[in-house]
Amino acid sequence: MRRALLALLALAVAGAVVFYLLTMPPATEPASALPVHTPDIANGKYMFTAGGCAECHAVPVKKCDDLKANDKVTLAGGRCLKTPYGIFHVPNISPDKETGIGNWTTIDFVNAMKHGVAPYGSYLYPAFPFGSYQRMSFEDLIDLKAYLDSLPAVKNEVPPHELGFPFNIRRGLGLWHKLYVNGESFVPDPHASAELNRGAYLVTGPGHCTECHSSRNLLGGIVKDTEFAGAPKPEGKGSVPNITPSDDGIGDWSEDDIAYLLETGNTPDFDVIGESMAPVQENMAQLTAADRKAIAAYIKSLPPRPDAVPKSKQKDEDDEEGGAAKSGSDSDAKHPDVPQ
Amino acid sequence: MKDIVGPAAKLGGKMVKGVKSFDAEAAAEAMNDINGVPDKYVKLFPKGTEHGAIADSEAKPAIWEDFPKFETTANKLKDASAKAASAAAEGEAAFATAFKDMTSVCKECHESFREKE
Repeated sequence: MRRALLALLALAVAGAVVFYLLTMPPATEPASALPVHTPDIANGKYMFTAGGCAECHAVPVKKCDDLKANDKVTLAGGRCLKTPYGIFHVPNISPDKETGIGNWTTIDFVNAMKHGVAPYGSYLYPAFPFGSYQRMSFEDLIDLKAYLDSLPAVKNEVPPHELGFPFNIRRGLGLWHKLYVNGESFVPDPHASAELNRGAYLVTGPGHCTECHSSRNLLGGIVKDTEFAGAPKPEGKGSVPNITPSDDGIGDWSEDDIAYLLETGNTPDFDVIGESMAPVQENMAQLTAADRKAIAAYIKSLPPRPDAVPKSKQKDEDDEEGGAAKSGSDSDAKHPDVPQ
Repeated sequence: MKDIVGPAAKLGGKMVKGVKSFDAEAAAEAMNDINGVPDKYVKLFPKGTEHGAIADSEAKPAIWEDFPKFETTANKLKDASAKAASAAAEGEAAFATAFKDMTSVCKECHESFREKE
């Protein structure tokens, strides 16, 4: 009996040691990794727009889940993201020294963007899309930091995230980081055109398009084989479309069609795109025409893939719910919940 | 009505994108087709057809909650399509500008009043 207990104890200790090792704080960039670079605030603002930073960090108009914000420069946080893991409260990234990131150095900021860690090594949750931002160049990040520093400092203490077990154990994120984060900047493909490389950089780095347009595994990691092939909505109802050039996706769109959508919000059929893409599109509309064209060229070059969320499956759910609607159900009938 | 606006906008859009060669007459005709629709839009949502009363409706409650705003937005489409129709006679560049102004009204109205995932 005592021997069994000892064995159990040894196992528990071994497990704890393995957990400790696997979730150790990652190697971050030392300040010496930063290139000599004079910050370009205008480019920082451009990256801020391309990255859609305001869409999460700007103070929402009224309620925490209000999609609209008063402006795009008051980055005091407070928005809430209701996800299957729990509720994330988006942090204050204004330059306030107490409640914002006013005390962060440039390398602190770079390590948050490239390694998903806050100063002093605590892991950040990947609701903050550093899985994509890690591909950004040091220069663009230095510029972005300079732009953030130029915005108003606002005191606003944001409540801590409300997550279920085991997602509330921050340290456990070390496993996720080991799998999906390496901090490597985008490497241009020497065989591709400058335009394609620019598009790839904008899409996979600051634009973080893959974060919504790709499906995820049980750990919340992006499934590489289905990248850009659509996904259930991260915040519940409906689905995000397949944007690969396949029959299921947007294979019949030209590059100009894609660039035109990013500029105006109109699909080739002159429908108007949905709510959660609208603010993204408005950001894209502010980029240069050359950058929108580069994004379109890269999207057009993606491997064609079938829908990751089969349309037939969605249709079945529609039919079931449609039946309920006829018997006087609520107005959510046309927005079936996507299974988590 | 969507059957009128959609194809007409698509035709205009093809000319603006340069996929179809610009034809002033056809462009004006398409814009005039759109011009007739807003008057119908504002009659489509009488009291009693509020959100949820009709299955598969994409209408947002905002239509009934702020009907004057809905009417104003619908009238913007009337103005913008009339402008686009007359701009067609002034040539391709004028039409392209007026057409883009019009589609921004489409966007404004859809975002405020149409539910879409």
